[in-house]
Amino acid sequence: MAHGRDRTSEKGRRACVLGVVALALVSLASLLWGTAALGTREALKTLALLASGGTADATATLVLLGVRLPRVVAGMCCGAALACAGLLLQASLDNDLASPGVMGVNSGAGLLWLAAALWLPGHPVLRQAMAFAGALLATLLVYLVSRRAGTSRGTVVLAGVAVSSLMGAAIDAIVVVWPQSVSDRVSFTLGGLSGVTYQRLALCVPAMLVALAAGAYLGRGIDLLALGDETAHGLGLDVRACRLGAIVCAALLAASAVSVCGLLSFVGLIVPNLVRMWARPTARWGLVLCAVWGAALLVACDLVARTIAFPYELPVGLVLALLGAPFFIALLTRRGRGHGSHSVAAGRGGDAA
Amino acid sequence: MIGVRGLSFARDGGFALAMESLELNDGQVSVLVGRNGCGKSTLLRCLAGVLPHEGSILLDGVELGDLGHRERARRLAYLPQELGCPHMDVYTLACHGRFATLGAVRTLGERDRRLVREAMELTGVWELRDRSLTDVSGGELQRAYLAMVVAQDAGTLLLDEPSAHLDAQRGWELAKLLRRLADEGLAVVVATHDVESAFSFADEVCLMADGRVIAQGPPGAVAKSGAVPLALGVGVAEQDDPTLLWRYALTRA
Repeated sequence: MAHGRDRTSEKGRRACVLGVVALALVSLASLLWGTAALGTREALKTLALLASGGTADATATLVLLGVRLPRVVAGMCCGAALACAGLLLQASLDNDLASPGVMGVNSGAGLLWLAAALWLPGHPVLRQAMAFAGALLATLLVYLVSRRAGTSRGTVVLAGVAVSSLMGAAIDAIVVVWPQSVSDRVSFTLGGLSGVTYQRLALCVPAMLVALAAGAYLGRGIDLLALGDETAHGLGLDVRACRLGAIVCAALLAASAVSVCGLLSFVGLIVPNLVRMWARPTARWGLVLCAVWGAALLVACDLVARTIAFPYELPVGLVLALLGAPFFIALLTRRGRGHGSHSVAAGRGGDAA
Repeated sequence: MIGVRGLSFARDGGFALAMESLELNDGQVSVLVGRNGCGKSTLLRCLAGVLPHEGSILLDGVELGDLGHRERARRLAYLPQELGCPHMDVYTLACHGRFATLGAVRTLGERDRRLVREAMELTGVWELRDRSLTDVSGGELQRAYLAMVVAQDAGTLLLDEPSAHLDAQRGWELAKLLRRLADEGLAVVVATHDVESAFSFADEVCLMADGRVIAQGPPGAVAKSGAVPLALGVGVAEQDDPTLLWRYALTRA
């Protein structure tokens, strides 16, 4: 008889394969289908010509490789990063409502990134570092507020919402007073992938990979956090270091994503919860599944955002918010009915997060 | 062997733990007995390195604070009273007991899997290996956690109320298991408020009251010392009847 562990791995593998197929399909659709002067048939022809080493029409090539492809790659990278950041935050804080958007991590990253863009132009690496610092600052603020106000799951989320609002207000103030600080205000504040360049991606992808690798290394320790701090301590885990490490990795992932796609919310909330509901994976498997499905979700939402209201293009953050808000409400309702808590069962006792 | 020198711990609410010296030896079952709030769990948590404290805790002659987290866990296993119930199956939980011995990549080897299986068979949860922790009873959950700490293969075991959710039969089996582990050379330290079982299967009883050990020794000696009514409000006496499950029974103070 297969172990429960084997069955979980089997579900995880199946989810991974499905996720890769879904990602491939939405990526292809996103390349071929658009509202620019490049129809689907012509796009397919151009793609086939380029793949076989032939010469294609210059305009078509520019649209495909210079506009749509970086957008698809950005969608994959940012979707994966935000979903994995959400998983790491939820595991380390033992709170399935935690996500970079809800906890203010995105807003913190966005605020300092914006400040750096305004006052330190021409320093893209520094801007990236400032985004990371902003993400950590927001996390620290949430931690400090929670220490005073209480560490229950609801209080931590409320602290995150407060910090997010504060950072968001500061961002709005900067954008209003210095509109030149960001080229597309709506796209930044709601989150969007328009105008993404390979140059911007090149700065962020290495940081994302480092953070993902570090998160995977911490994976077994992160699994122990679910048992409670004292039990994890008894098993030899440095609980504080592991939790801090996971939060730092989440901050780096979120900051990298924010510097490409702005303040995208809900990817980090929706994807980890769906992955957990479906496959109940270990932390390592969870990172793989979140990366694949987060990428697929964001690429799919971006495709919807730029085609559904033709000739207008909606920010992808708007589409995600329309999906994510009802999901958030459903999650809250489910928790209120006693489901969804993944670390302590009522009546059996458990360690506080 | 685990021992303390000049241990003290104070909590904001006024409770304080204080003991000049205490030694709990290998190859025996030492039981901390006392009323609720007397400091049994606090002492165990200090011994496990969970709570900051004044004084010295020596594990096999080495200062506990000088050991790294994983080195400590290779020598000392600790199971707290409050047990979480995450969404994982029993086998995965038991495997977590090998965490301290895993390499950088943290994957289980053949020896790890063998130890896990042996621990699960010893604690009677091998048949439950596929079940989710959320689908087992309180007693089964407790035995699953016991399998996890036994799989840790440490020389010292600290268990806080390990029989809290166990029925009488399982409680008796647990006592036999702990006896067996002690016979294999482990130092087994148990905190419990179950006086009858404590006196019946322990090699050494540490009677606690108000954060101090007020009597320590073989069960018979402690039972006759007169300290038991002071600490517990009831007495305890050895029974001659071989049909009784526990050798000691409670008496009026």
